[in-house]
Amino acid sequence: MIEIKNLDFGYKNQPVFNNISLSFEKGNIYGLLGENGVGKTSVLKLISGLQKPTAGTCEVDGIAPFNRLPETLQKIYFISEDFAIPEGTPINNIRELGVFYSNYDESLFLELCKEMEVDPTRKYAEMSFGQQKKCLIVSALSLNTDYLLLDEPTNGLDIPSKTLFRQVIAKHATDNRTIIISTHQVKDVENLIDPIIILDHDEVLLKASFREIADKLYFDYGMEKDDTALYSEMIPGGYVNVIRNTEGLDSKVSIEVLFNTVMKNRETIKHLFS
Amino acid sequence: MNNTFSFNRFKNLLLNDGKMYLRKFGTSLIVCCCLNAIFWIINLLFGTETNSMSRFGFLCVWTALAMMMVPEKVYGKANLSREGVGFAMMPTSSLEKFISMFLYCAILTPLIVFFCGYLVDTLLSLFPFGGFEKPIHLYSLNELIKLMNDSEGVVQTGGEPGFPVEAVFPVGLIRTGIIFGIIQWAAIFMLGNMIFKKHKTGKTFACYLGIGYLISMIMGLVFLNRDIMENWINHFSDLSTEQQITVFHNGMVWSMIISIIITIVLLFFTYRKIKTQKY
Repeated sequence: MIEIKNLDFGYKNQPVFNNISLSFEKGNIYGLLGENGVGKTSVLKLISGLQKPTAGTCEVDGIAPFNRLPETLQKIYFISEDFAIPEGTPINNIRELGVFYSNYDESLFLELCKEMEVDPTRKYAEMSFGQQKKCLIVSALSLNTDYLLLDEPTNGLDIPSKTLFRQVIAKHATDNRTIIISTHQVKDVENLIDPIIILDHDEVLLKASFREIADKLYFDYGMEKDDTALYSEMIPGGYVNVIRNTEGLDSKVSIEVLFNTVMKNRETIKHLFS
Repeated sequence: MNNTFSFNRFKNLLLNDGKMYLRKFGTSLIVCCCLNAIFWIINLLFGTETNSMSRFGFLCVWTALAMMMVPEKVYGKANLSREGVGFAMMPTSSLEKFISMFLYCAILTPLIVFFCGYLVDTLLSLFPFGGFEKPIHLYSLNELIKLMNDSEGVVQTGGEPGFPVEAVFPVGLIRTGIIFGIIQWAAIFMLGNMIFKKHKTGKTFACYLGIGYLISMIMGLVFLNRDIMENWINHFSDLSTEQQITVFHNGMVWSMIISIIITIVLLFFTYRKIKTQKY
């Protein structure tokens, strides 16, 4: 379990988080959403031990990741949005890395390479950005770490690759594994992530599962705009109105509409889900 | 799981770093080992001669050059925010990463360059058509001390009766000095590699020269003060030969202790940087 408590963090004179608390339980695929610059990548870097909190704590299974103990590092794999291109071929690269991870599975790596349609014997330098990213995702999954942190994983992937990405992640999500996907391209990870965390400058605006969201908010897809709705958005053929679900109605949650609703009603949403 | 040091993990790290070492520094290593061949070719072409003492000196220079380059070549990305993530997140302890880096930069590189360079030089000196007249003779410390002493076994100091070199520089002290000198040279560039983000070797060398110059200036201001110097010379000339030896010997011991402390501090800060580097 990842537990962030009363955490302050910033870069030099620029504060990013002020007293935020968050937790990530095992067996979930978390979607970490937020506008540009709110600190999504910083959360992932703090969990990976690449950054140190200014105050408060960030713990992975009870250990501060910034201590960079082998025990903790063996449980975490982080793919940064602006990753450095590894040298050599994916197969050689993962073989060199795999010896440090007790659960590394080479047959899974080869199987995933087939699924993601990448050649593990081709040099990284000769691949397109999308192929490099797919190889890294495959490598990360084959290491079988408990925590997999993906920063904007669908950036640079073409549409079929995005579909493959969703399939592979969904297939290899297990009860022992926590996957955190930070993205602003919410449509790419719709139907994949649950729960959702929406970050704002300095605070966590929402942390809830789809069930909890659907229990509290009703997404009304209709022809008319509802002036009493928390948020309304024009969609092809009408409007989607987000209203408080006082009658216990069931509706399909649209992440993009939810995100906009949260951004327009920060205090109301925080109060509703607190 | 032992989070500080595990032999199995360290073995894997050494192998991993070894592959990286050969990939990134292999060519430079071969070039450094063969640099004395330049003199051999010049001698062959122009019929000149480079004596074995000079070649020995150059071999030491190539070793020092290789030691300057190796941290940036092999571990240059370790502190970079994008490229260094792999180094930081590799599931080994900071101590293991530091020891592996130390072994490759401070132990293996000087050993390989010096002894392979020596081997290349020796092979070339065996070439029947000239180039090098004779192989480099590697003096033992005792032989060097004998060479430094004159025929009476003493060092002449400005026409005054001198004293045996080994009285001031015991073999053990010289050996420690050489070992720590080599380690200190490596430690300077290992730390520089972890501090600077770009042009690491150049910036470290510039800092080394700058700090050296600053220290010399301060020392010069203090010790070249006429009153202090006159007092010191008067006091020293009043001492017996044994007391003079003791003064020199103590000076050597203290400079050695300071050098060892500096080396340890440099290595400690390199370890701290590995452990606490933010990305």
